[in-house]
Amino acid sequence: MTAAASCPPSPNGLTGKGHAIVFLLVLLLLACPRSTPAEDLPSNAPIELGEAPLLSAGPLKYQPARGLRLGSTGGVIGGFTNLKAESTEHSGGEFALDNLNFFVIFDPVPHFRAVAELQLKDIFVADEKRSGTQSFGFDVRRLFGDVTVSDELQLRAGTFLTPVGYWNLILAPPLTWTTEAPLIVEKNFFQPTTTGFMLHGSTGVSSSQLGYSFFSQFLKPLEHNPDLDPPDHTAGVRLAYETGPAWSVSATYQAAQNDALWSHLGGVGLLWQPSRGEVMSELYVQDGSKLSSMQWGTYLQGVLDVRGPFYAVGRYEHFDPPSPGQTLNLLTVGGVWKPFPFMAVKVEYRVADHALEDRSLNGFFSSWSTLF
Amino acid sequence: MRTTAHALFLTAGLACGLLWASQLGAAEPRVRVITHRNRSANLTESEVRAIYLKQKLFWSDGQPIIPINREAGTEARELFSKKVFGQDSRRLASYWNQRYFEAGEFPPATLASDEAVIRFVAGSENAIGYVTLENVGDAITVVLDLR
Repeated sequence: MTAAASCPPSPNGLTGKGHAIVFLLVLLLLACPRSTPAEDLPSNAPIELGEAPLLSAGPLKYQPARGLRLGSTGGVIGGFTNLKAESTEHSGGEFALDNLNFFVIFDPVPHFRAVAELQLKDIFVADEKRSGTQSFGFDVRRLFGDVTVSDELQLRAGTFLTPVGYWNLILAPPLTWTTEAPLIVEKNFFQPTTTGFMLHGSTGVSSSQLGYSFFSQFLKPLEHNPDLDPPDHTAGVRLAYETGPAWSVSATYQAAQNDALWSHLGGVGLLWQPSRGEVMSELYVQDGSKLSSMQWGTYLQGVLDVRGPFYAVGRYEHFDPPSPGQTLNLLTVGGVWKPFPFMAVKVEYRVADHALEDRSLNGFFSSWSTLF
Repeated sequence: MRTTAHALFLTAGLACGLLWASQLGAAEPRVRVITHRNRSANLTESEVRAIYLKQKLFWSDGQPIIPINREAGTEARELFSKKVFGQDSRRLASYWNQRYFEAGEFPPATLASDEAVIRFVAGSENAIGYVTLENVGDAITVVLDLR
């Protein structure tokens, strides 16, 4: 019997166990004593925007891209937003205030942190036929607590980003180099979030770091999204070997069960950040009784620092869906202007050799996004 | 004509010699990683990197590490970033954006001068910082010299 079957979902999509996790997290938030974190240390030389408080009013300190720190409570409120304009063969022109997401971070002591991501989505959409709010919604996209036992052992419980590859860990638009995500990380292989628990940590190996994550989903996601088809259970492991932030390789395996059908996902990723750019690549293979046949996909993305805050971006993608789907090859070329490290203006054109489910993928995409 | 050529050759040689001599005399830029004097164990470059990326969070006695940065753009910060991470401080912003988004993690706090870093580290057994100053005083220990 699955967790979902034993705990019928409530109208907002939460199971009884989901409510229990939320309740426990709230209790932890209220129970934790307050100490002085390092971030409260005085600094009177704001050299780099985003690194020191820009505004300060009594106990409130606002730092661009790092949010509003609420005095000595240990609470921080931040977030990001994304404005998007696109013109595609499939749906024509469209302008949207795509996301307004808020982070609520509670970081009271070195051994505990709680993070919530609250999402307002589809706030305003205007296309060739209509304008206004069409499917405006509010969701708790993530809510988790992290208990740190040691460098090698940390426990995360709640709803958190599924630790697969690299792109899924930088899902916020200000952090990515293109408006559109690669097809293979968008929705085809795994769910972006996991609701359950994760053991994670890292240790020094030679002159590098080896990080691990064991994660498992056994509850339904907090997010109420009809497009999601979350598995009943998952179990996975990710290993990442990295030398500083300059380069990293990772490998992931995840088994997922949905209606007694299983699927198995294997993935490898590469992230290399030389002095004038970035190379990112991921490859996923998935098979199992849940699928009509094996599917696999990959992408290779390169970023070149052209001059100062101007970057050129190119990405090749290959997606081989389960039969009878048609193999796809996509190419995206574009440019990014990053006036600040936390803000991005992106323009790109994507062309594909076939349609996906009768939907052309060709089009022009642009966006403005920022952390705040 | 021949005298002019000799004079030019001599001048060029002299200029090269002066340039070489000035390079010999120039102090090699260095950054010294410092901790409280009660923490005297030397650290490796990879340990310092893990501490400043907040991958290593605790000292061996279980106390939380408090890493302190200088501001982006200062000589100390840029030298430290280049030697420890192989990147300038601006490039590291994307790492911290990701950690902030994924886990609610914040980058190390910054202090405005080497003297402020020394004062803070001298007053906190759990702190670690870095400075370009030669004279760091008796209250702290140099645990890594980055040349």
